[in-house]
Formats: sequence, C-alpha cells, structure tokens
Amino acid sequence: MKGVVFVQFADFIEENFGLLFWDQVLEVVDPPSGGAYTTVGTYPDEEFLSLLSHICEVKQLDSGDAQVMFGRWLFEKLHAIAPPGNKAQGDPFAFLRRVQDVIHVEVKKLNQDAILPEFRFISETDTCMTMEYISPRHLNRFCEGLILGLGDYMSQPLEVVHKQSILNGDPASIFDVIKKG
Amino acid sequence: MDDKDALVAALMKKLTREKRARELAEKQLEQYSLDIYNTNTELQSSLLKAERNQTELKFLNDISSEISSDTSINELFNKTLSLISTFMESKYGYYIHVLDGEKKLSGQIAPPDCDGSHASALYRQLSSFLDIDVKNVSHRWLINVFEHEEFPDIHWLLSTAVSIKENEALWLVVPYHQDILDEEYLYVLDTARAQLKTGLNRRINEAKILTRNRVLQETIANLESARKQLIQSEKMASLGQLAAGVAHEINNPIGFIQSNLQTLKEYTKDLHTYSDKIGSAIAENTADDGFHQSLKKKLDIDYIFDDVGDLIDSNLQGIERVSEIVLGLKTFTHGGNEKEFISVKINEVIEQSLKIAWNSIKYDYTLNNELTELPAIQGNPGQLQQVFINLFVNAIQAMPEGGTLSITEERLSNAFIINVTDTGMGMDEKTLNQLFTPFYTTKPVGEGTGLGLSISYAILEAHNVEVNVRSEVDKGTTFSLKFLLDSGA
Ligand code: HEM
Repeated sequence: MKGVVFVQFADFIEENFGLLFWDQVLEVVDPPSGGAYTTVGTYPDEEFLSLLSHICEVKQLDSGDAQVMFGRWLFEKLHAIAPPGNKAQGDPFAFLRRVQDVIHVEVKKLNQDAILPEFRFISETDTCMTMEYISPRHLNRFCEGLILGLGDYMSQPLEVVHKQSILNGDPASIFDVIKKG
Repeated sequence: MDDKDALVAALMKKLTREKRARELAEKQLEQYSLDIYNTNTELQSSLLKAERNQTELKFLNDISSEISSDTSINELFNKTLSLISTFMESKYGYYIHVLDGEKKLSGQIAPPDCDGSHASALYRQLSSFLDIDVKNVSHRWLINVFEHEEFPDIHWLLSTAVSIKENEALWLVVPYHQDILDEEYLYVLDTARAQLKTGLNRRINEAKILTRNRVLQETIANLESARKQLIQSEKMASLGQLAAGVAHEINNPIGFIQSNLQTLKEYTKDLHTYSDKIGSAIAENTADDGFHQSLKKKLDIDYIFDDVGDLIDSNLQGIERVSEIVLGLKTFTHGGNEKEFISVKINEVIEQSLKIAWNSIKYDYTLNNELTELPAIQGNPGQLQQVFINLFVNAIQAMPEGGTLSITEERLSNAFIINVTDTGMGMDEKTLNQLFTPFYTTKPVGEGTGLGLSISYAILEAHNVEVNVRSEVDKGTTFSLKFLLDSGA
C-alpha cells in the first residue's frame, strides 16, 4: 500500500492514542520498515494489517470498526491531496463516481505499483446508490469509513449497508450508500 | 518523571524514524530523477529512431513511387541510384551496365564541386575491390571494405546487381563514408533492391508485350496488304477471264478500221491514176471537159470523194471506241486510291452527272430528284461522277419508251443511302446475277462496252459503298448506294 496511507495511519494513532502508544506498537510489532514511513514509498500490506490487528488487540477494538474509524478520519487527508479540480461538492454520489472514473485513475497513473479498488455502480436514486466494491484487499469496512468521511466532509450524513460481503462468503461485496436526514 | 523520560525517548525515536524516512524519501527522489533521466534519454533515442525510421520510410516510399512510374529502365536505375546515394549520404554512386564481359558506366553520382575526374578515378578503382560481372549477382547488397589513399573518406563499398538476361546485369555501387555501417540500413537497402527488381521485371515484361504488340500489328498490316493484293488479283483474274471479251470488243472496231483503210488505199491508187491521166492529157493538149467527165466516171471519182469522208468518220469513231475501252479497263484495274480521296459533296456530283446525262433525255422522261443536302464524304469526285453518269444513262436506256428517273435518300445513324430508280423494263434474275461482271452487257455488240457497271462497282467498292440492286421485269430497277459516314475525325 502507498506510503500516504501509512503516514496518515501513524498520525491517526498518534492523534488518538498518543506518541508513546504508537512508539510501543512499533516496538512490539517491529515492522520491517521500522516505522519510518514516507509518502513517496510503498510498503507491504501485511505491515498495515499487523499494526492494525495489534492495536485492536491492545485497545479491545473490533478490527472492522477500527477500519471505519481510520477511513473516516483519512478521507479529508486524501481529499486534500486529490488531483486539482476534483473537490467534493454537490452530490456525494457523483463524487463516488468521480473517485472511480478520475481520482483513482490518476492515482494509478502516478503510482504504477498502487492497487486501487474498482467500484461498479449498480443503481442510483436520489437517496440511495447501490455499488459493488471489488478489490483483492477486501478492505470493505475501510471503504465504508472513507464513504462516511465523505459524508462528514460534505455535511450530508451517509450510511453504508453491507448487503453482501465476500468476507461473509457472498459472491461479491455490495453496498447500499444511503443519504440520511 | 518516568513518563517524561519515556516521552523524550519516544520523541527521539520518532526523530530517528523521521530522519530515516527523509533519507528514504531523498533516495526515492534520486531514483526518480535517475528514472526521469533514463526515460528522457530513452525518449530521445526513440525520437532519433523515429526520425530515422521516417527517413527510411520516405526513402522506400520515394523508391516505390519511382518504381511504379512510367520511366524507362535506365531512368529508373539512375533515379534509384541517386535516391540511394542521398539516403546513404554518399558523395558518389555508379550505375553499371554489364553485357557479357563488357562493362559500361550508364550513370554516376559525383560531388557537385568536382568536375567528375575524381568520380572517374574512383570508378577505375572499383574493379580492384569488386567483381563486377554477370555471374556474381547476389540477391542482397554486398559490403566490401575499401581502402585507398586517394579516397580516405571512403570506407565501404555497397553494391548490388540485378540480372536482366543470362549475359546481362545492372549493377549499382554506392561508396559509404561512415566507419560503421548500421545493419538496419542494409535491411532498408535490401527492401529497396527487392522493389527495384520488381520494377525491372515489370518493365522487361512490358517491353516484351510491346514487341509482341508490334509484331502483331505488323502481322495485321501484312494481312491487310495481302487482302488488298488478293482483291487486286481477283480483279486481275476476272480481267484475264475477259481477255477474249476485250479482244472481241477491240477486234470489232479494229476490223472495220482495217477494211476502211484498205479501201482508202485503193481509193488513193485511183486518185493517183486520175491525177496522172489529167496531167498527161494537159501535156498532149487533149484535155477538155468531155475527157475529164469520162475519166471521172470511169474512175468513180465522185463516189470516192463521198466515201472517203464516211470512212474517215467511221475510223475515228472506231478509234474512239477502242480508247474508251482501254480507259475503262484502266479505271477498273486501278480501282480507287484512298490516298487521293478528298472531301466530296455528293449532291454536287449528282448535279454534275445529271447535267451530262440529261442531254440524252428526251421530253418523255420525268426527273424526280428528292435529295436534300447530304453530309460530305471522302472520295474521288471524278470517279463518283463516272458512276452516277453510268447509272443515269443505264436507267434512261432501260426506259426506251420514256418514264421517270427518281433519286431519293435514306438517312441512317452512321450512313446514308442514295436510291436511283427507273420505271424501265427491269431485269430477270440471270441478268441481275451477272450485273457486275465485266463485259456483260445486254446491249448488242458495238453498243455498250459491258464495262460500265463493273467499273462502277470497283469504284464504289474502293469508296466502301455497299451496292444493292432490286429489279422487277417490266416495272423497273433501283440501285441503292450506301455511303458510310466517317466515324473518326
Ligand atoms: C469516498 C471516496 C473514496 C473511496 C470510497 C476510496 C476507496 C479506497 C479504498 C477502499 C482503498 C483501499 C485499497 C483497496 O481497497 O484496494 C483506497 C486506496 C487508495 N485511495 Fe481511495 N477512495 C476514495 C477517495 C480517494 C481520494 C480522494 C484519493 C486522493 C488521491 C484516493 C487515493 C487513494 C490512494 C493513494 C490509495 C492507496 C492505493 C494503494 O496504495 O495501492 N482515494 N481508496
């Protein structure tokens, strides 16, 4: 996964649990990189997952919930570095489409080694969009967090309902994204 | 305290991590720069390659348009040589024609700044490096090392040849100035050579087809003249058949001319006697009117004077007949000469003919000329006039009791037809069939030569005119002449 995710993850943990905690986590998990993350680097997915699972263990957190929290927190940071002309405004569903059609495409162009998810939009009404999330990483809850972060950013509360999940043995991962309020 | 120390320690560690991260990032950055640099150089070399590919393509394209043009083999090779020299950035180039052992320089490229003596000197050196002959023809370009103190800027000789025949080949030699010869150039040159070979073969085949065409055309011309000769000899043959007829026709007047002359000779004797007798009577002084009268009576002088005029008239007529026959035969044998054809207004010809033929027409004949202005045709106006006079005279003679002579026309898209119709006695089938046979005549001996219609026929044939005759006994006859219009010019 790209360094930006790791750098932000470190900030996220430091911000929520303090520098000492993050230092301890690194001490225990002892990732190959030694925790010296830079946005221009790329690091193995396992490093992220083992850091995450260790934190959940210590803090008694559900791993899925932790992913949602991180994703929700990360959105604003990713949004800030999105290629110009891709600010989230207007309709959140339209922005989700933009992520698939433009933002992730641009990310891929700049980082040949990035692995980006694919969204397939199945149906859309004013208030509900059904989409499929396709990724070898199966970060379903992380994705949910990013979407919720989008809602936060746009002041349009959103809910993500996991109608199907590969993680639960379904053939695909399908979300309903619902506008609330 | 512990907390503070721990925090400081954690901060220190974080600092170390940040430092490492920075180093990593900087390394990464260097890598990026290197990557970018490499990419740039790669791009530059691709650009260079693309540019070269473009010149190569342009070169091949120029060659192939040269190949597909209509230029001669010589021009093709000279143009190709110049294209290859330019492509290889060579100052020189040679196009050599080899026939058996004989080499001939058929084209050369020389630097614009020298008078050619340099290029000629180089040409003389070639043979010590190359085996330019008809056997040594490879299907590729040959590369030979070249070293000569006079030409230090030449390192290689590129050469290739294509054979035309077993004993004939065309060579191209291009000196190369660079130290190293890129293999890719050779591929391009081989492609050009293959194209050149195709172009050459096409031209050779075209030349073969041209010769074949020429031979065919000659054959056609020969056939045409053979056909003309055949027609002529057919005419001559029928003429031969009719020698007897000619003899008869000519013998008849000759016969009476001879007997007339015999008589005239007798008359001259009598006239001599008459003159002598008168002379001696005057000398003896016995000449008087009585004597003269009795002498005249005795010698039949009055009758002689009378008859001499008749005999001379008759002979003159006979001679006229003979020369008429001879003249007719001449026209018949010569046919028409198309080369003497001029533009003819057929209406005028017919007017003229009518004027001449009309003299013999009595008051009980009616002329019905319905002709309008007809298009001009190519022909001999004198001969055509002869034809029409003949037709009109025949028509009139076919109507001894008077009748109507009609001249009408029919127009077709590429021709027009003139019908000459009489209301005369008509002809039976036998007569119709022999109508155009020379010396066939229905008229009694001495009245028609029998040549008229066959001469007309020969003339019309030479004019490409189709003749048709319809006839009914006691109703009349129609001659239809179909004149073809010039489709060309
Ligand atoms: C609501 C909006 C977004 C959603 C739902 C979303 C979803 C995701 C998900 C689920 C991943 C994890 C990789 C995976 O699942 O295979 C991911 C990765 C990533 N996304 Fe987004 N994303 C969003 C917006 C953005 C924006 C605005 C950017 C700005 C540049 C961005 C850049 C990235 C990058 C750099 C990665 C890392 C890929 C890698 O390291 O292989 N995303 N995104």
